[in-house]
Amino acid sequence: MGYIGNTPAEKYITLSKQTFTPDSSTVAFTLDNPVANENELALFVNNVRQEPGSGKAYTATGTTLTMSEAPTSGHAMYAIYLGKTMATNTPADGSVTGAMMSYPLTGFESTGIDDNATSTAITIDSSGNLLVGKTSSNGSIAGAELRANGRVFGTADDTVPLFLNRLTSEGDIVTLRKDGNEIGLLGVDFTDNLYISGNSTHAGLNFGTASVVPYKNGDNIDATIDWGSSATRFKDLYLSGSVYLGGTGSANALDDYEEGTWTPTYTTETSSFTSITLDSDNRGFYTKIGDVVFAQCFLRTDAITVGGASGDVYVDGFPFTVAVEDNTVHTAGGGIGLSRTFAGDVPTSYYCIRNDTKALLQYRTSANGDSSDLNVNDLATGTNSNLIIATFIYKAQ
Amino acid sequence: MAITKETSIAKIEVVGEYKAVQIATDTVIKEDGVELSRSRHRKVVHPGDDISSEDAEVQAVCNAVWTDDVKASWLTFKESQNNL
Repeated sequence: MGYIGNTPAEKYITLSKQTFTPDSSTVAFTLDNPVANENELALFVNNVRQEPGSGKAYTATGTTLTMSEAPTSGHAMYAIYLGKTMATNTPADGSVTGAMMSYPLTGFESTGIDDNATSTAITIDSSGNLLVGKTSSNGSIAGAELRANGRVFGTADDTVPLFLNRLTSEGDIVTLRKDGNEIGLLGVDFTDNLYISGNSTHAGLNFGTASVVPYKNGDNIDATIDWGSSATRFKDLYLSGSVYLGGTGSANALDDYEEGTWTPTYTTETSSFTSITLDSDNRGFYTKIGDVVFAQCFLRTDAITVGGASGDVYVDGFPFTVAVEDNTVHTAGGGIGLSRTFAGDVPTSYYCIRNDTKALLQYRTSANGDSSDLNVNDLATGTNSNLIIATFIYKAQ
Repeated sequence: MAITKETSIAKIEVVGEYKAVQIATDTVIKEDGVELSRSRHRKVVHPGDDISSEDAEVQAVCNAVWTDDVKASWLTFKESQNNL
């Protein structure tokens, strides 16, 4: 298209045309576009331009075209809108400047982005950080951040800030890398078990329904991974059940450990002493490992009123009941470490009474003689008497 | 700074055919409510023993498990217990 003078801005005008169908009777036609008056229309009948104006060929206002007489049926009748020009303006590439825009943009939408015309949805700050749900870069403020230095922050108030959902298959959900090399994984295995794993050569854990088991290179692994090491140990371990050492059967279960004190005393086979006064140095300590009890004592009396007591003499007051290993015999016994200041025979050994909490004291009258039960008559009744130091070892019930 | 000493029964265990009642009593030393140390003392009572000085909870357990049959069995057992 040629121009005289300056070339106008990139503007191309298209005049709009409307065709009518006369029927020899209609004088009022409806226009597609409203007009202020008939001068905004060029009306042609059989390609002869009609004169506009009152008392002329036609008048027009709004969307009504009124002919002075009805055009003949079959004649070609059309109008060109002069007052309404249809323009398509296409700015040149790179010609729209920021000043030409109206800010803020509202209701921005493209094929891939829709801000839903809400308040600020996305901010890219001066440091190049992409902020969603907030307008300043701050890990303490709720919202999401993709920082220009590669850091990712998800901050949520009173709810989960990070939600990762793997669909369909089992496998890694998070991979952790160092310099591009895989060093750790979080994922799901065995339908719904969480695993935390190092790379293929490192240890991990698999969290089952009722157990946490060692995991390595994508699978559970047996008897390979240590818990702690000789130089880097865990501190305390609290268990309510057993520790299995050297095997997995009940015979390998260490199910108890306990330390404490007990109060050793003397009792007799029949009846009780009228009174017995233990020395103030009396002590009893025990350690129970599994079902084995080590009960130590320093036992001494300051006064005994025998009364009706008679028969054999026991060290009584064990912290745990002696087990019944056999229903017919006693099976736990040992030596007395020190015994002195008795009135008669001096105990040198003991055996524990099954189902009870005491040991029967024994003495021997010769180096190779049988042992005999210590008797009440062997006990001294004065102060600092009947001292024994011993460790009683037995299995507890 | 307040040092306190609290004693409480940690365990009451009924063991064996003759219903021996094992009592574990813990003594806890605290400073301003923070536990400094804990020690345990144990004793065992048998059917027929005098339990009047024991804690009410212990007495309740003893009275529950020490039936006349249990007491009788225990006496019978004691009479024969030191026969190797």
